[in-house]
Amino acid sequence: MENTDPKRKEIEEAERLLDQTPIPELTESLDRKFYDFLDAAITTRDQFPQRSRTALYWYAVAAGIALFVMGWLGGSVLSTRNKSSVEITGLSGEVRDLRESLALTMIQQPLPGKRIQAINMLADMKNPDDKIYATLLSTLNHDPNDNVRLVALEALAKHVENDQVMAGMVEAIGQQQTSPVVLLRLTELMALLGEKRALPVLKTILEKPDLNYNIKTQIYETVQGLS
Amino acid sequence: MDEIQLMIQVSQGDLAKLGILYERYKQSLFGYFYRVTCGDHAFSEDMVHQVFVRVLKYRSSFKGTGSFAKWVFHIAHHIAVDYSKSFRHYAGPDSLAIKPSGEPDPYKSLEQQEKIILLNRALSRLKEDDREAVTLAKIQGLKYQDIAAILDTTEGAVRVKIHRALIELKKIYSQLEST
Repeated sequence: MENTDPKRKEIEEAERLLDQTPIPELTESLDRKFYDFLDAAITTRDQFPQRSRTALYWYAVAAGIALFVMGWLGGSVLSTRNKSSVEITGLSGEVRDLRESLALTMIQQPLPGKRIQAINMLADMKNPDDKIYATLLSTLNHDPNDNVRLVALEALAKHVENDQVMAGMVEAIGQQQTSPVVLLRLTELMALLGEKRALPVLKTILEKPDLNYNIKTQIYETVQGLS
Repeated sequence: MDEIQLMIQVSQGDLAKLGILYERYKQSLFGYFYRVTCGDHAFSEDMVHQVFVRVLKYRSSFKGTGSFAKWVFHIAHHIAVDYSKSFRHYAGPDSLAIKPSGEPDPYKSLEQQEKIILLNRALSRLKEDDREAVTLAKIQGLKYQDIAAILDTTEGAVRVKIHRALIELKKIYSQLEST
């Protein structure tokens, strides 16, 4: 028997409307992005396999004890032999140089996972030099993978007090054509930091006719806030 | 293979299995975001990616007690809420932040394109949570009970909300069609 309830009929018509109105196809770029990401995750997992929570707990306890013993021993040795402190400083400098060279080599690797790992190594370094900043900025501007660029941006965001980094980040805004996420994050950072040098490039982007409406809104608000 | 089993394997370290889940869910997740954002193609794709980033990040929290669909759409819901907050969608149905996409798609007929644009406009005039509820109701594999859990409400409340929202949607669509 046909349902004559007008409300029921409206519900059925609305459901039909939703069912029959097509949703566009996905673009290939999503697949590329996802599989790059998965590839990076698998690579990282293979290098640092997950261990059980219990095992991790005992590793942490063991590492803590080892650090304490090493610290105590180191302290005793250093207090009696000041001469060797110069040698230790030299050695730690060499280790740092070695890590930096390794990271700078890894950042050239074709696998996005390796490049992310390299960025994390660079980001962990204390007192980074201009070479590290330049590498991270170059990655932010030129790496073909959105996730790698985003990780580079987050690494740089920790060093905004450095003028080279800040100027590079401002310059990078104009170069983020393919990733709305990176562009949005950069815009957010500019707003947070009150970076007025970003105004000209943000205004130029606002003039683009094909700009996504939501990005436009965000940039517009940032421009208003900075002006 | 069963989706729960696949996700359990992912949570145990067999990350490659995530590719199978991605292939199964990418289109329905995209459809969900596409409707919720009233036709923002680029952002919808980006959010699908974000869902799988979070699936991997929080994989150990998947216990296999409920369906994978419910779990993954729960994640999607949180991403949609974050998105809404970023663009102040909660400001109301005619919020300036929502601009339905009017971009033509060369692969669709003119009639279909008009339908898409009209539906996006009608959806944009629904309240944010109503729009999400009707969208979730159309996703295969999600029961009212699951939708209630995702939206953190009761099954009865979800039923009423969806019915009211569908009636409202039809009313708005008819008004737009006749103008």
